[in-house]
Amino acid sequence: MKIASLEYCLGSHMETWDELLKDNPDWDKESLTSKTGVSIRYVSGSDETALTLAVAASVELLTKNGKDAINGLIYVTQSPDSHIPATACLLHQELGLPSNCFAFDLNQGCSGFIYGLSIASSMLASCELQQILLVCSETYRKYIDIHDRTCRPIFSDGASAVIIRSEDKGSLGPFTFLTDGSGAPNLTLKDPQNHNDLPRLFMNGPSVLMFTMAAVPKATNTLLEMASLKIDDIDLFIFHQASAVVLDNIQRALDIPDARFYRHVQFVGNTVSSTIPIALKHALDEGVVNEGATLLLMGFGVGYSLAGCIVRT
Amino acid sequence: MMDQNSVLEIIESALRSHDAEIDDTSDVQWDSLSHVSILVALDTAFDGKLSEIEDLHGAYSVEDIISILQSIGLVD
Repeated sequence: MKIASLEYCLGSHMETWDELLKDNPDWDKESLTSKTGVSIRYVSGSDETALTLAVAASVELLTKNGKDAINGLIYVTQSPDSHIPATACLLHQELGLPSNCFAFDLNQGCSGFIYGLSIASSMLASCELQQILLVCSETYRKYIDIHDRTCRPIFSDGASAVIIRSEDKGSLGPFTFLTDGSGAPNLTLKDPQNHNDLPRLFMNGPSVLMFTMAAVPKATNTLLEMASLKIDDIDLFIFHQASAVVLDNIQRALDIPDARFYRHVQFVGNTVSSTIPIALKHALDEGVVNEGATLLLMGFGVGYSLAGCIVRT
Repeated sequence: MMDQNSVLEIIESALRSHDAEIDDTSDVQWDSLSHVSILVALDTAFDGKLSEIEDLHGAYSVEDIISILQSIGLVD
């Protein structure tokens, strides 16, 4: 079982620091850049939604890989175009997937891709399926105020599409999970002041940082123990690309050398559930990941929720 | 165990990177971005021991931070 192919699509507008500073002349660019690590952000246009981004990423993927063998569609989003019916059904329709294909939404954020991998791997095995399409898509930027110094410099809109295929090569797992609902108020949507506006994303940066600093190193060691592996056995660590300060602290706590700690947040920003698949695609394209490599992937954040897994390519 | 002056130096150093005005460190105020810098600096200085201390992420004064660190025996 393996991650067979990946593609992604970002919001169409490339937002520069000049734009942020034009709206917020009192912001300290140097300080924010050093904390976030983000050089450029991608923002969806008024005619773009999580679904349209998801369609674009999926079409790119299915054009190269075909769609007739897709047995299931898992759609990870917290920016759904539709609550009733599930947006996965709309995506299924847009992509023209086979009618005997399952499709459902999965409401998770930063841990969503790993959750999706876990469910996909379970269904491939238990239902004797061949291929599952896992799509992650978020347009958090639609919920972020232009003057929000905590959120605006970090988040981008984007979608990723991944085919998980049942085959003799590669493996997915073990998986580890953590849920702490006491952290829910620290990263959430709040009602707008004007009821005609969209709700606003709120993030308590210090609290979310403390959660990652406490949970991620511990969960990483738990996962390694489950797999009977050590840090040195992992060819590449790809953590959720939350921000530079989060990645710096994880790397420091686990003492992972630069060559095996993948960073991509500076190029794209935080696309929530798509940061890991986007980073993985670039690692593969750059030749950083070879056949037979052992990877550790871990997503964490809103919920609080954490999910990690070992992947063998 | 670390002494209080060392903790004050760490906080001052973290705040100076944000050009915060420091007249009397016991009265200095800072925002959430500066608080992130302080938490990271303190966690580094204490070899990762602070990540489990939830009270710290709401401690936005020097007095509160030192009080919490003293209560768990990290500062004298």
